[in-house]
Amino acid sequence: MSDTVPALGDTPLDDAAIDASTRHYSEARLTDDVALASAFVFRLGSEWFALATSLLVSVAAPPVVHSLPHRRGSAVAGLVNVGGDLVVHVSLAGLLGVPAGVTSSAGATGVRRSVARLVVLGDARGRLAITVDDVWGVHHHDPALLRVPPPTLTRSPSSFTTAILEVDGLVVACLDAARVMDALSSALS
Amino acid sequence: MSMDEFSLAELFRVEAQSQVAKLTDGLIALEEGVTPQQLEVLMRAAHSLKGAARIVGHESAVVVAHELEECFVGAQEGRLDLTPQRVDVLLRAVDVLASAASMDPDEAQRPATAVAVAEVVAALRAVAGEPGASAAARVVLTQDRGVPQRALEGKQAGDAHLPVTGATRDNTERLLALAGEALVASRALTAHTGSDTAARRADRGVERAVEAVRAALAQQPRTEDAARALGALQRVLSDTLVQRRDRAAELDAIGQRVSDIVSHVYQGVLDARMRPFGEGVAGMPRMLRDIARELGRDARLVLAGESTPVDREVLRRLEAPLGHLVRNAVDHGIGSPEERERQGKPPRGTVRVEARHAGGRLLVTVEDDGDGIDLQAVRERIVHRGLADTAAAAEMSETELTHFLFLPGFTLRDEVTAISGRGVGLDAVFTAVREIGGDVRVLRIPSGGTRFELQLPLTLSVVRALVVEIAAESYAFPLARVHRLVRVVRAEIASSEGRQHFALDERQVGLIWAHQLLGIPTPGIEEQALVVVIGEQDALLGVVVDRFLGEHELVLRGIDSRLGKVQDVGGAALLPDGTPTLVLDVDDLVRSAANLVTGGRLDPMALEPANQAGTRKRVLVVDDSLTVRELERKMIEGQGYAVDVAVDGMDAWNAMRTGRYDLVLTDVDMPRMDGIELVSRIKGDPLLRAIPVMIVSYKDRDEDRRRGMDAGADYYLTKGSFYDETMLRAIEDFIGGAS
Repeated sequence: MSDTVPALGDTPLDDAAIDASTRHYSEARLTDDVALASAFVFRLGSEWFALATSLLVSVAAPPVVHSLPHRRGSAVAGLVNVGGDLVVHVSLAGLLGVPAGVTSSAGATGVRRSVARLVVLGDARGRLAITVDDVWGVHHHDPALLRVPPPTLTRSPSSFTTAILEVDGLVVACLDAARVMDALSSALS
Repeated sequence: MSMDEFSLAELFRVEAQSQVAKLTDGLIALEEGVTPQQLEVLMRAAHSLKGAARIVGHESAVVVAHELEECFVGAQEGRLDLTPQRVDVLLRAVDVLASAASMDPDEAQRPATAVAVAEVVAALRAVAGEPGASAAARVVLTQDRGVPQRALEGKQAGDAHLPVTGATRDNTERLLALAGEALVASRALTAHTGSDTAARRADRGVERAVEAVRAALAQQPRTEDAARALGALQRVLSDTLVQRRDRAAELDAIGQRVSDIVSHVYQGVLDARMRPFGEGVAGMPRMLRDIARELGRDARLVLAGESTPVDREVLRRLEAPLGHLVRNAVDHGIGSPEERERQGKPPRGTVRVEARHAGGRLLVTVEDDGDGIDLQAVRERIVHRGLADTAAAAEMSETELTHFLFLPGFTLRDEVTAISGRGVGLDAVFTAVREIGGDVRVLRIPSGGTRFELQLPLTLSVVRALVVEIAAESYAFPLARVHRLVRVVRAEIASSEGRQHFALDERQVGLIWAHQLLGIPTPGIEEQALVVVIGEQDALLGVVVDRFLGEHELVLRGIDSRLGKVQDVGGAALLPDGTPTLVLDVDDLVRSAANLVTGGRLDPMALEPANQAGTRKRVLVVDDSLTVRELERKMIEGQGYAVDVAVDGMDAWNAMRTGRYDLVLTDVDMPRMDGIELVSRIKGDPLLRAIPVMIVSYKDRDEDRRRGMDAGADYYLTKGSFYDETMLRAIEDFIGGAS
């Protein structure tokens, strides 16, 4: 046995070295124990909203909407072609009382490109399409981070907001998916 | 579809339906002669139904089925002779049984049904030779008499013909719609490949350009380098062109193959919706028998082509008109047995119903060997009703005369019977057949008898339609319901009491705005009105639309059922460019028009251009994509300008020469005449050259821009900057605000 080559484990480790090598395992497990909620975040006019991702069927470029006769001025905007399927297009902005189509995210460059998207929502009753002015994407969050909306919203009978969430510096109103779909579906007939 | 979807009660209902059908068919067949096999089938059907009813605790059904079984057993043992009178009773019992079995067991115990059940049970016992039996005995009979349970095992699922559920039906519809869409798309693909003349023209252009360079070089003292470079360029170009042609041919072949496959898929899905014709006329032998007996006639029904596949929906909608025709045949055609014998015909008349495919259509004929239509009686009736004078009626041909039979309220009968003669028969047949895009005609058979021929579409899922534009959106009229298309110039439009009309084949046709029918504000007529003439011969209606966009084969789709029936709309479809369109419901439109007229709410045709439109600046938008065109139109109209559209350079050039425009906005790549050519022509025309022309194109390279500007365009905009205000600002810079 030569003693010029130290055997494995001969070198003593100090606490700092141990800490450094095991930090990954010693940290609190952040995500595993929390069931993350998933929300689809989008913009109507100048306001941001979130709907349960389970409602989301697809997102597409804004298509041509064909209006329906005798339905002008109602929540039904018409029919759109979504991948070969004809889907009824409704106005969520109208339901929520948001003036839609306002471009708020004008960049400093002054270049304003439309980022409007057609969003198809679906539940057991069928599918509906809405147009949103911008799509942030799907956001996963810890339900504990949801804030209670202010009484001006919670006390309003026509409010669909169940909670307020901050996403990427944006204040997002989480909508009650079932009630939104109820209201949109009943606007059809 | 899993069996779990069906509860036991539902299974019973399904089984009851199939056994009832067997009982009915079997009983009617008895009239052709009683055989032991037939009695066996009948007995078994009654027995199975009784057993199934007992399992689900359906007492009423058990009782009736039991009595029926007793009768059949009696007949099998030779104790009971099944005379037509007795068969009547048995058939009535089957009816009561069918109706009771369709209810919940408890519901069937309610007085109305219970009384019917008691009566029919008493009648059956009388038939079976137990005149003393009373309704009171019913309770005893509901007790088990010991039917072997095993006889029923495996019956419910095996025998029962399970109906198609709503869910699978929707799925088939959806598959059919998608397959149809794929078919349309694949046809568009083949239209764009190898045979693309635009590409070939471009190739020739390149070759010519190279030739021009060579000619130019020949004038110069040639340098070795230039000649070499030109040679190289020519080689590269010709290689590229050959390669492209090969590729195009390859693509063509692929397109053809895709198109073939897709058409097979489409045919397959279409076949899945087909049902045998016999399924739709299953109840007809019974109906014929009942009517014949009621009228004291002797008639039998002969069905042919029962296996002919017919679209489920066509079959469903055919049931009522066919029923009418068969009733008519017995009532009007086939005389009493005595009369027939006098005429040397067999006493028993025959009504023959046949279905077959002919020339891509479904042909259904209903033929009787009766007296045939009395043309003299028709003439008299026409004169009597004041529809024509005696001389005119005498000159009418057979075809003309038989047309009158389809008029509402026209009947040859003076007295009204329960069967027909109320004058609601044939016009209802006519309406029903027309509603599904079919036609009906009547022929006299020389040997005596009448033949009705119904020509029907094979499917209701695909419709040939005239696509028009109304208020910047497309709508489709089913071609089968369009009488004529007319272009009426302003001078030809007459006005009486503020109602506008025009002459068409010596008839005045009233005009109505399509816009008003659809609840859209009406515009004014400028040079001419484009009119779609709809409605029936005696009540034509001229619907004024903005443009004719062409004829297309459309795959019909339903509209989300949550919307309910959308007035004036029969369905939706996708145009070849993928944009949605609405297929108009012509019957609805005619009704809506009638309502507007009687309500005095008809908008007059403003024959002068509306003031506003006269002073507003006009922009011509040229693009071969409907989407881009409409987007541009909406944006520009949104600024208050008046906008006209053209679908390609040629269309635009024609519009330019007849209309007055302040600005033209054009795409570059378009069929027939491209944007560059259009710009050159405008800028080469002394009268038009002052009009600013803006090019809007996807091509954003410098050379594209230069090509456009070289041709004389005043501005070049890329389509990327569509949504922003650049386009609108540029328009305003050129021609100022809207008015």
